[in-house]
Amino acid sequence: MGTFNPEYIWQAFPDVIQGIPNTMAITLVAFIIGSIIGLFFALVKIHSIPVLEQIGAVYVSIIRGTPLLVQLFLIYYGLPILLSAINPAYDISGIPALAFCFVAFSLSMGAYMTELFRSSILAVDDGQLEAAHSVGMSTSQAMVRIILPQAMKSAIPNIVNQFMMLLKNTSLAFTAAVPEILGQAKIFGGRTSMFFEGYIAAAIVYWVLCFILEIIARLAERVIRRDEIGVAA
Amino acid sequence: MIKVEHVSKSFGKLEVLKDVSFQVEEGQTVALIGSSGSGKSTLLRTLNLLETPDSGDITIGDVSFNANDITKTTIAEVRQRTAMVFQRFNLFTNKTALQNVAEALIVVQHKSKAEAFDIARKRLEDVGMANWADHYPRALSGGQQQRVAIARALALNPEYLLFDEPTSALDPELVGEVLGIIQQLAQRKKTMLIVTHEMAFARDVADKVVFLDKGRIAEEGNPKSFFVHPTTQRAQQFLARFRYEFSASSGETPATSLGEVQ
Repeated sequence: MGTFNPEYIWQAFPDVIQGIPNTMAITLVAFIIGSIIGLFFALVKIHSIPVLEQIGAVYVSIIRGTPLLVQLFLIYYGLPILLSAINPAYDISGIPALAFCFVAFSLSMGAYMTELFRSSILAVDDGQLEAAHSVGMSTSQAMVRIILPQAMKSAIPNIVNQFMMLLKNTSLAFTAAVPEILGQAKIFGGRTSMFFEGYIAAAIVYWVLCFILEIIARLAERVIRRDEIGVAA
Repeated sequence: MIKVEHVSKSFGKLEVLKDVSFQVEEGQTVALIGSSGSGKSTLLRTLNLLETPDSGDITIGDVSFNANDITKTTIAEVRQRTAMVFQRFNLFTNKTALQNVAEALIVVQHKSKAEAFDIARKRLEDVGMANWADHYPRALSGGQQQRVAIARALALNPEYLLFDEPTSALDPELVGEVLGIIQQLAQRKKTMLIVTHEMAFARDVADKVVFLDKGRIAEEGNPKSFFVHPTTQRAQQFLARFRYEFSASSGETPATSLGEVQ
């Protein structure tokens, strides 16, 4: 302890890399479910659907107003209590820790995606919906074929941002006993006492993942923004 | 036939249309003119129910409805029979010119893609835009976009075409190409209602002029007599402002000016 041994960074990688599946599982599940929740409540809010709109507002307010770590604890400890209250016969110990993380991270992501989708849908010119209506399309047809594709285009940079924040926030999952990237680094540190080197390895792995993500996002954006080039290929 | 009877519409406390009644016969081109804020665009938009009238009756061909009894079916039937061309074109920015024209044929009229694109190509040809089929709206000039928008409206084969200031957002040198197309449609006896500020165009192309002032129809009639001898003071004042345009476009000048009215 106390000395820095770069060689241990290299040695930490095999351990740290084992956390990638858990990290990516939480990230992808939370991103997909969070996007569905977000799109749902964004449309609810835009179309002012009673009751659901109020539920959405309270949901977004609570999630955005409390730290993700607190939400994770509340779900990790609260969900088993809730489940056993509903059905005392339910075997709570059978629920994997990963499942609690899926719930917590999805709920968190959903709230941020609600506001993200709402603002990008509202940013589409009103004339687009009017034109779709005028040629006889229903509001839902217009949404799917005209409004959402345009909204997604302006949303992409923000979606990528949210995705990266989510990916990095999954490092909190270790507090719920899920050995993801940071968790594996801690385990490596505990075993070798080389905590600092383990954390450096974890930082490098996070950064590489985000870097790959940036490249994918740039390609996706190029495809989605093709109509700005002017002529269809 | 389009028939509007006692239609009124308010936005909050602002009365935009006050007991408006008029008619467009089959094959007629009717120009709807008036100052900004006179309610002409709102009137046009009530005809395909982009705005819902507060009261009154409207007949669009074989569909009649009262303002208090508008169902989803009414809206669908009305929009089947009408097509709208907007001031700001409103082409779908995520679709090419061809896809813009074909979109409703596929989604609303349930035609096969092949048939829809076939029709779309023909309509683009009609407006001289066949060579731009694969261009996205962003790559087209205002005049070109408006021609595609007209093709999109024509493709639906509507009984009635509604134009909402189709040239007001265009650079002056692009106005002609759009008006030329509308004029051709008038010669082909398409039934059209056009909200416009192009007075010379209204005079030369329209079969009837409807002059709207503060939400009421102040005067309507044959363009030849309306533009030369408007009977109401409001129409005289309104037309006086276009005197220069008339003298520039032809030798004929409207008989009135603000001076004579006072």
